[in-house]
Amino acid sequence: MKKNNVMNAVSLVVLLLMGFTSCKENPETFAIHTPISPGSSERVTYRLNKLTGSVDQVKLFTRVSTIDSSGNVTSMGRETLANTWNSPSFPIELQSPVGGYGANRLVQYRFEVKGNDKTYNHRVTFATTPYPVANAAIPVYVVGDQNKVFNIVFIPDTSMTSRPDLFKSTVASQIDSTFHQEDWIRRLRNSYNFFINPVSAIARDFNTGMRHVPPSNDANLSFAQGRCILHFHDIRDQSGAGYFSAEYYVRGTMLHESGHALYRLSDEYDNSTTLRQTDPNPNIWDEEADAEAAAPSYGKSSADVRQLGTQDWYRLCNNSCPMRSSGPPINHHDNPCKTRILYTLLQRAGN
Amino acid sequence: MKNAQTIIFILMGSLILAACQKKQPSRLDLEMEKALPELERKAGQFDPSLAIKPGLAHRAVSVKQNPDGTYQIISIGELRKGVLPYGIDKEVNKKNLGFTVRWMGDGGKYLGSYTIEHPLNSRSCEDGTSKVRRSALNQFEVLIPADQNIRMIELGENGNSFSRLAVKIDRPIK
Repeated sequence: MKKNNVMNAVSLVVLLLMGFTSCKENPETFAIHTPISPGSSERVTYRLNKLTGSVDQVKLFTRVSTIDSSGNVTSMGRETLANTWNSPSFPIELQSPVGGYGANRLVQYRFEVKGNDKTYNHRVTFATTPYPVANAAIPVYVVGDQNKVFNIVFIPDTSMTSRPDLFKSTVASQIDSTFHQEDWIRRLRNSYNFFINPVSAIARDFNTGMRHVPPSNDANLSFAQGRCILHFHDIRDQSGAGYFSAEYYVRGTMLHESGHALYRLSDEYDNSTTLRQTDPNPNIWDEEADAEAAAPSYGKSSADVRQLGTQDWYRLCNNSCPMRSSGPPINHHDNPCKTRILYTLLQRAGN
Repeated sequence: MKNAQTIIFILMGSLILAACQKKQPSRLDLEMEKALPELERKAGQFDPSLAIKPGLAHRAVSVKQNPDGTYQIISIGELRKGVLPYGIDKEVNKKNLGFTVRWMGDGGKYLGSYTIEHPLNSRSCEDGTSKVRRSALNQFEVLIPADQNIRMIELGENGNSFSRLAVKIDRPIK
């Protein structure tokens, strides 16, 4: 009897530990560099931030390669260890050597993180500018094959061309403070490539009745799922013909519009006129019974089904879902949107 | 006394178990745990080269919408680097609403499709409202895979009432 009790207690402790360790990444870190698109002679600061968990050791490696005007790698550099931090305190930062990396370079850095008995890496590649490949989107934070991950190109509106530093710092903060701040997308950070376009576009106010004017290298950007024109105006933003616009400082709009562009998530506004059920794994349903039937698979019940205003459309996400809001603040995706996001990323990776 | 100790132990165990169950990963968390290594394994390496590789390209087809709502091809563009940016439906998906592009091979064999917002639409979501406007322009481009087996594309709108406005390509797309 006593032996059984001990065994039960051990089982409970094991279950408890499993429960606490399985739900969230531990440790959870994310990497960024500044400037996000450095000039050939600019120094680069590498930074690793920690959200949760314990980290025993971090190593930073860099690799510098040379590319030609066709984008071919003409000289593949060797990966070298830049620094090691034991029992580090965060954020970790390291500046590249004085003088910059030079022209026509692709720089890959890798933070190797050890903690909680596991090891993982952040691998990021960026190009120095000017980028030798004419009229091509400049890689500023890329993590994988363009055909296997999602690609987002930030395009300066003409109002940003006189503010190149603001544009670049905006792109960095969109990556770091939007995509890396949303809990679900941050975990999927190895599935998003980010680029800057060297050519500007014109963002137009929806209320003027005019459409955005694409950049002249439009044909070179059709590989990308997200093409975002960042501007300095105060306008009613719009999307169309593959481009969406946003004020340079907004976060919620970025999440909302990338929800449409990348995953084909529907609006969840009560009075939206563009509602659609995108199967599989929709975030809204045109039949209440279908939403009720889907609820348990999202950890919800039929009591969580909400009608969109007076329309015959139904949702399960909570009220703060990014597809129900836009503008400056960041909200976090709820389970139906999370499921769709994961599905589309897996579909893309399976190309 | 011994029974009381056992009861207390069982009660405490139950409480711990209940707390533990609350912390158990959800189905979605488990799916994420499974997906992350797969996504990382398949992500591959960034390729800066402009070279167009077989099977990893797409092309744009310029299309005009006639006053009667039918479509006609204006031109078929050159190959562009990269696979189609959209998720492709491997079988006809009638429920998806929006603008659907389908491509077919010999004998009208279905090869694939995707659905997007109509290319002539402008949509705006701000202040908790969304508005849509159809452009007065009548030309736009659609993307198709660089697949030499394609013989025909079909364009249409709105899922179940898919309008069969076929656009026949007289020659294979090479």
